[in-house]
Amino acid sequence: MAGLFTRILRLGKAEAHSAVDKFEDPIKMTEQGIRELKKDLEESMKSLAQVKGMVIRMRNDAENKKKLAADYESKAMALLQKAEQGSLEMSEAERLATEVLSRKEDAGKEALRLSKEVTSQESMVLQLQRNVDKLRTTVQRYENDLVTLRARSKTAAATKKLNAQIARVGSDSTIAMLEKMRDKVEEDESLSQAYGEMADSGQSVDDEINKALGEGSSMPGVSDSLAALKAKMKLN
Amino acid sequence: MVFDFFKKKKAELQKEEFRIEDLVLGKLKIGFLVDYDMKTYKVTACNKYQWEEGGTTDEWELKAGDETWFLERSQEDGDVEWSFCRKLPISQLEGDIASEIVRNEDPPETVVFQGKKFVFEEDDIGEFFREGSDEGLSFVSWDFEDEQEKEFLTIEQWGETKFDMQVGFTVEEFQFSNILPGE
Repeated sequence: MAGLFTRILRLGKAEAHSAVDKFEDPIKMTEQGIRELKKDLEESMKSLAQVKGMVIRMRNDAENKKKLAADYESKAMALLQKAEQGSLEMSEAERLATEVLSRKEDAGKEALRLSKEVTSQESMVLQLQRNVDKLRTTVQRYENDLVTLRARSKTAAATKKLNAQIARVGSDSTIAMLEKMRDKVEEDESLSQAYGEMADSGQSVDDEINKALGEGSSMPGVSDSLAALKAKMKLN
Repeated sequence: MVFDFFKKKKAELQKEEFRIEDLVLGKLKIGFLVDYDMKTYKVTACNKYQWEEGGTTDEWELKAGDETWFLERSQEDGDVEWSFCRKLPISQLEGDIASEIVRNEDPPETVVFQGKKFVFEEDDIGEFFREGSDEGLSFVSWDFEDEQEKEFLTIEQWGETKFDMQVGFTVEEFQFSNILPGE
């Protein structure tokens, strides 16, 4: 029983899908698909822009830290030179130089950390870039397909219309009506010819017989009767 | 709380959305990223020049680290030309060219930059509009070209004694790639 119910449900589903399929316009569906892909592409591009921006900032920070480390080193050297020249106490110069060198060390370490981070993020940028490129190519391919699809759809619609017109020719089309009119005219012509022939043959059958016997000839039966009558009346 | 909600909504509306179709070189905006010659540049300014003899030039300031370059698109009679240049002080030219211009109201026929000779081509008067401003700044410009016609050099005079110099070369649009919207 349950099996039967599942089958009925499946049949219902299949019918519903079939009905929906009939309503689906392939062009509109493709356009919608492209719109969705473009949205994905936009999001990917935003992510890529963010990561790239971050890498740029980190690279700039790393450069600044390197410059700072170099600057601290120059300052430490300047302090020691001043002490050498006697314009600063050597102990004070060494204290300050040590402090500056410690800062230089920190800046150098930070520069190194940032540089390593940049390298790792750059590989992520490459990966994201590849994905964006792939998505862009896919969108481009479907956009090209859409152009072809539109053209094919137009051709199919025109062919369908033309074939329908050809299919209707035998029954109620204009051509069938014209054929009927031609038959009617031909029928009228035949009829008129027949009437003409009938008009030509207007003499009676008796006329025809007399014509065949000739103008001078008379009917023997009638002449004999006349002679008998004359003999009876004794006339010439 | 309610005000925060409206504030957030307003901010969302104000945030300019980009369209993929707009990610082209001619529509670069401040904050956009663009790659050229294996380097990523960030757009930091968009300016415009109007020339007295006809035509306009759109200029985008591009930065990559410490480097600042200018991408320019010049249009005249339907022809479009792209160039990539740096702005440098006129003092980098051999000789005191600034004084010569002040004295003669014109530069010499040839100038030398980093040992390379540039020959005078044409001059014009322009108006410079910074980042969509309606108020233009007038200046005079003299264009020079190197003998191989690969690089150009432009001297600009922005007042009695203020000078700028641009040194660059022509580029093609396809050389720029991976245009991305701002963060």
